Amino acid sequence: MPEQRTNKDEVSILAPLREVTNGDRLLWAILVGLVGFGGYAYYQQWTSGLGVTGLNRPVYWGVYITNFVFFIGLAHSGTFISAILRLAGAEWRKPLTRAAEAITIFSLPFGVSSILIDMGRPERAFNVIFYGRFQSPLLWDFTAVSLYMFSSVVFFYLSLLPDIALCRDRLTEVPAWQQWMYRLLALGWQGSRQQYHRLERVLDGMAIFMTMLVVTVHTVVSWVFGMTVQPGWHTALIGPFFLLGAIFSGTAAVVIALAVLRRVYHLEAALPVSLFNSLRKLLIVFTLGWLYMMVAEYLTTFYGSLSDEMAVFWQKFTGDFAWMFWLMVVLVFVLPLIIYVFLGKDRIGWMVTASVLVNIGMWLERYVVIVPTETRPRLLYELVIGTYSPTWIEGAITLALFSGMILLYAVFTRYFPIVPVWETAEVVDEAVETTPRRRWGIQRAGTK
Amino acid sequence: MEQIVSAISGFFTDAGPGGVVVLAVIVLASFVYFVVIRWILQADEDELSAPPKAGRDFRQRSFNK
Repeated sequence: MPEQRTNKDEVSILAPLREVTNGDRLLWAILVGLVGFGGYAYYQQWTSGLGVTGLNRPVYWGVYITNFVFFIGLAHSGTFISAILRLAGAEWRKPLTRAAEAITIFSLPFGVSSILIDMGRPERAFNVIFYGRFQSPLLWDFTAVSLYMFSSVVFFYLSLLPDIALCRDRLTEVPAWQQWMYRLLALGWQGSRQQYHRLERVLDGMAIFMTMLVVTVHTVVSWVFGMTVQPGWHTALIGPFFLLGAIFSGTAAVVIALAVLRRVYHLEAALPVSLFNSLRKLLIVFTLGWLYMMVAEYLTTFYGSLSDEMAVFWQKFTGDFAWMFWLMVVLVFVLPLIIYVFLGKDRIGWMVTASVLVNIGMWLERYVVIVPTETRPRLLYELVIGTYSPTWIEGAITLALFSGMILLYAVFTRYFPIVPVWETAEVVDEAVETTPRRRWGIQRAGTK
Repeated sequence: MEQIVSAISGFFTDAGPGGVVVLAVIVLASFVYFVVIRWILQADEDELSAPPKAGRDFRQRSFNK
């Protein structure tokens, strides 16, 4: 027998799914155009080779690898909000889990694409399968990111399943193909007590697994750099540093996404200001955590004063990359901390402003980690100061990647509920059960 | 003994085994997720076919406490 649930915000959550507006079509068309422009740029790169980019000897990794690390970092938002906070029993997270998980799902493919785009011969990616050897961190990366992407899709889909069934049952006026899609994806979900119970158990179990994966993935991503003896990369701190940065930028991205969804889809009731206040506290902690990591990293390097390390160190602090480094510090730490602490409470506009700054700053941070050390080669035959200036090709492809991610996100939110209806609903049947336990889920001690 | 060491070393350094492990991980994950999704969706059939048991209900309640 289906479990009866009611959600007072159901109508407003499902409203955006009932109609695609002209504004949507215009936005999608613009984004498709930008993706197409990036496709043209990639065609140029494909036919002419990587020479059309700013990549050269000895700077082999630039904007594309920066994008890779950034997108993988963004992807951590969903797992952090959904899995880690789920394990912590943070009930306030429920309305924003899907918006966060969607960022994970739609940013991961573009992270993986960035790697392929960076390869002069992308078809050689299959060599990882045919000739993979476990002494290579690239293979660890391939394994971890593949499993993370696959598991994230399953985790996302499972938590979406009851709401797809809800769409199947409620949205009877939408086009036939849309109804057919809901019927197909709902997998015959009936919404019985037992199904909900099993779903909750699986999601709880997967939350533990996903938490382990999220730590593993970004640590392994950092090891692609850290396992080399390159100054600035070869440090044990690089794993935790990357992980914290990933969760930081991902959580900031969730703030941006939530604010836009709230405004565009009129979800003020389903996404109250209190959610932003909770995220604000987390972001203050992450901002300070990021400063801690920065100080630990650079103070250790400075006291060691190894000549190779110091060349890169001064390059960032006072050299060619100083403007970018200090701009990054202002964008990631100084301004966001001021805004989050003094201006962010109950003010969504300020929260979004700070979060945008954080994400721009975190992209610059990835760039500053990756590029400067490459411009200081230490091999005899390469003892020339390297330079790197990205070309329009890299700019256009980067724009296309971000546009593609936004496009997928925007389309998704028009066809699926972006606020989980079933997770934020209350069970109304079973008079005996409703008092101590509002629904079939884990009601941990200490949670309300 | 040398053969064992060589086999272990070869696993990490030879071209090929790494790719097999990647595929094995993905295939295993696919199998586990398939089974899990089936298990969730079959809940209705199990509920209807099996008579209600006090013990099972008790376990569910205590799980939710």
